[in-house]
Amino acid sequence: MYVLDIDRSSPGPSAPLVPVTQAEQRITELHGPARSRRLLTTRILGVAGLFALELLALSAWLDTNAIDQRQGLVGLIGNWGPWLLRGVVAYSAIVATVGWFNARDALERLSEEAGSGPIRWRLAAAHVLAIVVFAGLSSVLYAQNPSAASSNLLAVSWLVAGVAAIGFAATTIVPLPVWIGLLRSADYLWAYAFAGVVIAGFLGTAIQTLWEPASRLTFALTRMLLVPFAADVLADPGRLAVGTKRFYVIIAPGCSGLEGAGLILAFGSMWLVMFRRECRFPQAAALLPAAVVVMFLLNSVRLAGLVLIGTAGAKRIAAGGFHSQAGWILFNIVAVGFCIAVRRIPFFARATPEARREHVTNATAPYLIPFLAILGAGMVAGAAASDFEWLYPLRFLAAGMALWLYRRSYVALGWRFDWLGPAVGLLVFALWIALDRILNGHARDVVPGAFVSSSAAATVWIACRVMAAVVTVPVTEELAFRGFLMRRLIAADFESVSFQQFSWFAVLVSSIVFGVLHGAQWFAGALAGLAFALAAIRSGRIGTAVWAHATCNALLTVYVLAYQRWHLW
Amino acid sequence: MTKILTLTALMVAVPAVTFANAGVLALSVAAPEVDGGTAIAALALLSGAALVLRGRRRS
Repeated sequence: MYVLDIDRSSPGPSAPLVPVTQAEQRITELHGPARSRRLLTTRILGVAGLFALELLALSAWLDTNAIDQRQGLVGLIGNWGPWLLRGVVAYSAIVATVGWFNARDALERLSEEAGSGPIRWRLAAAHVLAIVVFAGLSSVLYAQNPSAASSNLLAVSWLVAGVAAIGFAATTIVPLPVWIGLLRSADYLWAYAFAGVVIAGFLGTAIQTLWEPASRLTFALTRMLLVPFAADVLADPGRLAVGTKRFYVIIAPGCSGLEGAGLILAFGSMWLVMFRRECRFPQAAALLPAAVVVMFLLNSVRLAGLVLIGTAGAKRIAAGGFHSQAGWILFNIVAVGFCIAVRRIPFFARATPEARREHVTNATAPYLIPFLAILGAGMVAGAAASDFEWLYPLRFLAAGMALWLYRRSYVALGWRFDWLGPAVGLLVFALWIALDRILNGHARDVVPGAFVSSSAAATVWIACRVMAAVVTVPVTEELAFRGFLMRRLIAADFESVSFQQFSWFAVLVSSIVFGVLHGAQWFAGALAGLAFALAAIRSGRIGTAVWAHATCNALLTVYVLAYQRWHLW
Repeated sequence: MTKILTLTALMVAVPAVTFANAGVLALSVAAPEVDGGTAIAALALLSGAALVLRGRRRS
């Protein structure tokens, strides 16, 4: 039996006839690797997820402070365990992400071996057994203080059980040769990552010697910045205390400016390495120390602002919202400024073919800008708040303005109403409330102070909150997570991807990211994201997900106001 | 987008090792310049901004 070769690259009219078995093989060659690569990726993500959950449980259960004063191997575990753990997590993150980026061809090749391979249930059982042994030994190791000899034996057994659990889990769904092949295909990445983690660890220790001089410099800069704005500036160089009679701060190592400088150094370096082909060197490299210096100086501006806000009487805002948000706001400003400079200013950037094209629009912007506007406004509102976000209307306004700006881009999307949306919204609402009842109990929340102090302000605040929950938040979040992220995980040209195109990988990853951005309610958020994604896929329109999201939020709004469950807002 | 996701993952991983012991109290509350509590929103904002900056162009 013969069939026509389906390869579109073959000349049409004179396409050769090939045996059916060869044609099937050709189909696998054309469509198989992508699918099996996804399968292997899914399996690796599954292993990573399992490790993350187990690590989370162990972190919540075991406290290394309980054993760090002990002698021998147990003491070593207590002292170095947390560092080792952080090192392993950082190492895994570097190897996985850089490896995925650099060795996708090898992943495709190796995926065919693992993709069709069965899950080894015996190894899964061995993993469970090793975990049970590990947990049993942990309870003994962390609870008692046995003799040095027996505790060393216990610690060795504990380590062996832990390593065995990792090994069994890793080889349950991805065979050992595939792991070895993946490592080999990434050349010396394992060594580079190891060196990177060791250097980062040493830098962390070495940087501590810089805490004091950096703190002193920040102290002097903050005092200098305060003098023009405050008449009663107090400065105690001995304690590194600076401020006014009404409000002052002690510049501890954590406030020295080195954290921000280190973060921007890490971010800028990685950006320059990853996008080196688009940068003009050595000019672009000079931006790195400039960004570090700007970030360090801005920390003094932050501290001066902190003091002035506290001195003005808003001590709770200074210590509550401003200190935690201002650093990140400044970091984001410097980081985005760095990216824009490196990419857009001709002195630092090479002209790419894309940049030379005229009359182009950014396809990503209409989907992400409204959501980013909410995030940015939320950070600003958070910086001006203590325990109650009185500036929440800023989020509503920012999202509304961004949506209005890009309104023409949304016309072609499917917004038609259907009953599937509200039905899914009702289901998600019920699920959310059930999870809230299970996790947070039946205690009544404290009514936000601003509601008590002024009824007019409370009315405006609640009106904006309701409008945001029912209108701007569903539209912006669905555009970002279902409109962009879910489809972008399927194809680079995400606008060409139909909403009916289904991919578990895209649905799960976009839902998990959606959940993570819901903070403490991450689990409910991830389930909600999953439901909204499936609703959009079922109907083939983003509108269904928006209606579902809006219905859920509207019901939650009624619930919050009726039952005073303010923490849900 | 892979590069941006890589960058975001590294931005979480590297500081986790380098600044692991940096949290020191100031005032009566901890006030480090890059507070961990708001890190998710901040990194999401940065990643999103990078995605928009490097967004796919259409004529």
